[in-house]
Amino acid sequence: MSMLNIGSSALLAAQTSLATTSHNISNVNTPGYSRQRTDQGPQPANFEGGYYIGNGVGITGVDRIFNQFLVNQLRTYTSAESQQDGFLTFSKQVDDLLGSSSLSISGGLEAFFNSVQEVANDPTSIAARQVMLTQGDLLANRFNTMDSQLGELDRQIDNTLSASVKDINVLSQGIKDLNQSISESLAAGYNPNDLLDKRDKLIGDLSELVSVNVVEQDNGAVNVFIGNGQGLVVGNSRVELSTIADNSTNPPRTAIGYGPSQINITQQLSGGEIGGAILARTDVVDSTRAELDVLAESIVTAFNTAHGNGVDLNGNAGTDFFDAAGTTASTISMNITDTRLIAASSTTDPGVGNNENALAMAALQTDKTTVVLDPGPPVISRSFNDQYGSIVSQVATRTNQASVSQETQAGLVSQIRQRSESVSGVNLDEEAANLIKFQQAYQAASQIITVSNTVFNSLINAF
Amino acid sequence: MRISTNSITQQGLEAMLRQQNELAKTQLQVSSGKRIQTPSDDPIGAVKMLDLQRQIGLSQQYQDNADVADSRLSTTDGTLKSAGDIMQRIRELAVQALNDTNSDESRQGIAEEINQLNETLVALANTTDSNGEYLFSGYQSDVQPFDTTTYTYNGDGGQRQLRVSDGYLVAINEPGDDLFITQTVAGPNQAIFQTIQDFTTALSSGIVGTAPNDGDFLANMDYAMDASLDARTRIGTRQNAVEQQREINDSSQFSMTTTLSQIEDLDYAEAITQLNLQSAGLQAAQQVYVKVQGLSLFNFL
Repeated sequence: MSMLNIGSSALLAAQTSLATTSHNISNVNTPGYSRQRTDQGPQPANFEGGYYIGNGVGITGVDRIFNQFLVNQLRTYTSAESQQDGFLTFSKQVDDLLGSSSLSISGGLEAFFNSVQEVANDPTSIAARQVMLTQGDLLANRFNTMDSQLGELDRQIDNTLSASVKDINVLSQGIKDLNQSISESLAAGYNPNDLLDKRDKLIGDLSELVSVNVVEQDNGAVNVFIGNGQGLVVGNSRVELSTIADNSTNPPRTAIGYGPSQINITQQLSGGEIGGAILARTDVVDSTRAELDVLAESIVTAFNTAHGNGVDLNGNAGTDFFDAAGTTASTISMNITDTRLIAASSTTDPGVGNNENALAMAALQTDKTTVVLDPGPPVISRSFNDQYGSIVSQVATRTNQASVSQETQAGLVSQIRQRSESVSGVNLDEEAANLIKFQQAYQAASQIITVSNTVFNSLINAF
Repeated sequence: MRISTNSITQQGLEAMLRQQNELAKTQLQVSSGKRIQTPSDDPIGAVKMLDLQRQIGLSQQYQDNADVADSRLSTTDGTLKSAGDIMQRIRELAVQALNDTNSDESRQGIAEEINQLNETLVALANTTDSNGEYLFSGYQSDVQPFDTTTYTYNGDGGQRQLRVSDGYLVAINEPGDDLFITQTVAGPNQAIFQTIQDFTTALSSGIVGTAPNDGDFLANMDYAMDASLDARTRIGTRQNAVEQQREINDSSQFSMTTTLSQIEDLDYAEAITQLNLQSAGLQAAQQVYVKVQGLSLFNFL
């Protein structure tokens, strides 16, 4: 092997290394990019008369530097973090809603019962009675508004789910396509570094939406599973997700269907934005609405019963104060609109100045038996305000907990990302140093060729 | 450990964002003056706040109720005082009329004066308050309690009560039958107006010294005056109780408001210190970012 050949192999190796370094530098800001390294080794030597004579350098490959364990861990933590994040998006809104002084049921109850006391103070005053009717209406309105706001959140969750399903389908298509290219490349004997990065990036994006399980195949393709083992991408095929209507609730809401038969897999999915949205739906939105319904029903039942015990200004027994048909937060409404129909008087010595029933109605505010949680025995019950306080504290605690856990997960994600970056990320200073190193190698290799030329020339000139 | 260029940028960025986030939170707290912005900031505190707000609201309502009770009791007391004064005057005139030295004519004059006073007394018993409600007709507050000619009582025995604390209901009226239909020497209870009218009729007819229009009349007047004096004592006791309750409500309201403020309100000194620290932290993070970003081997190539 001639010196010229050795020189050109060195030139080629330096050139390739310079190209890889340039590739690294140019992709410094490409998300998901793993730095690459040109691997080189000595060419097989010639055995000549008892000696091995070196044959220069050869490129053995261009490696992608990464740590699969860290990539997997990052994926898991990302799913967990984005689940808490997705959950918080919704639970924070409920938290705000319940705590808002202009919307809170607590303020509505206070204003309403104060107006009942004013009627007790002055049962003949039409003005006081009018205020009580208005406050009753406003209280019902607060319930209606709060329920419709929660319903609005339910629709936001629907939108999140359908947007996520669309994203998942795009991602799974990409992963499937990359699987094919990668396995073909590998079969042909090439390491498709950039395609592998791209696929990892897509799977990472997928894990922000839903928690995934990734299994690598011998041919380099990956199988991606979601939920409890539903295959999303299996080799070169993929399964489409779809949004379907879940008719088990009224109004129907969005669920996630799997495959052509659109089996509902919503409950099986966890992690990521989807997991967060589903969790927020069951743990916050649904439970808050249910608890508000309990409170609304208790108010209607207790108040109507108390009101029915009295006598109105016309001398008739009290009719329903709230509409008896509306026993949920969305349907609670006033029944009476005439101030004379407020039954402030009791049945003993009924009269316009009798305020005994108004006092009894006002006493419901602090009555601890009005909201029955368990008919028992023993009966477990609490007051209207305690029930609302319990709703507020449940959501607040859950939100607070999610917020703390989100911070923890975000910390973990950032830590793992840094570790992964420390393996795979491009460091420009390092690349600059490499640039100098390989440039020098290139210059030296050029010298080999020059020298070999000089040597050759002196040989020629000898003749 | 190897650090990637992106990590350095990311770290600098995260530091700035975190500082900004904390700064924004403190800023919100300072501008609203509230430590708790949403219940999740402090779930236990938030529920305590709800409870305290309700109790303060209720206590405020009790104070309003106490105002109403006080005003009604004062009106009733004032009315009864006037009624007592009139009955006292009638009694004095009756003593004078019963004096043997009086002529029929002067008795006639006294009878007329007593009649006038009796009319005023009936009017007082039929007093209405500022809302047009009769003070002395029990629960039948839209019905005039005493007929102005027959003196029959048309009210009932209802006593309206107002809640001035969780455990205290105060009665704010006295039914008229207890006050003006009183014991007589002869036996059966009779409206004092009737007793007075009977007396003046006798005086006008010149019949003096026959029961019950003799010394018995004075005794009957005493019974009536005692009844209204008793009522005024009861009212005075209630006024005192309401006043005491008002003070209790005030002090409990004060302590609840203080507790609420401790839970809900911001400690400004602490928050401002925090704000300064955080803005210094943010500035430092920004400077570090710029400094570190400037470091590159490429600068020397």
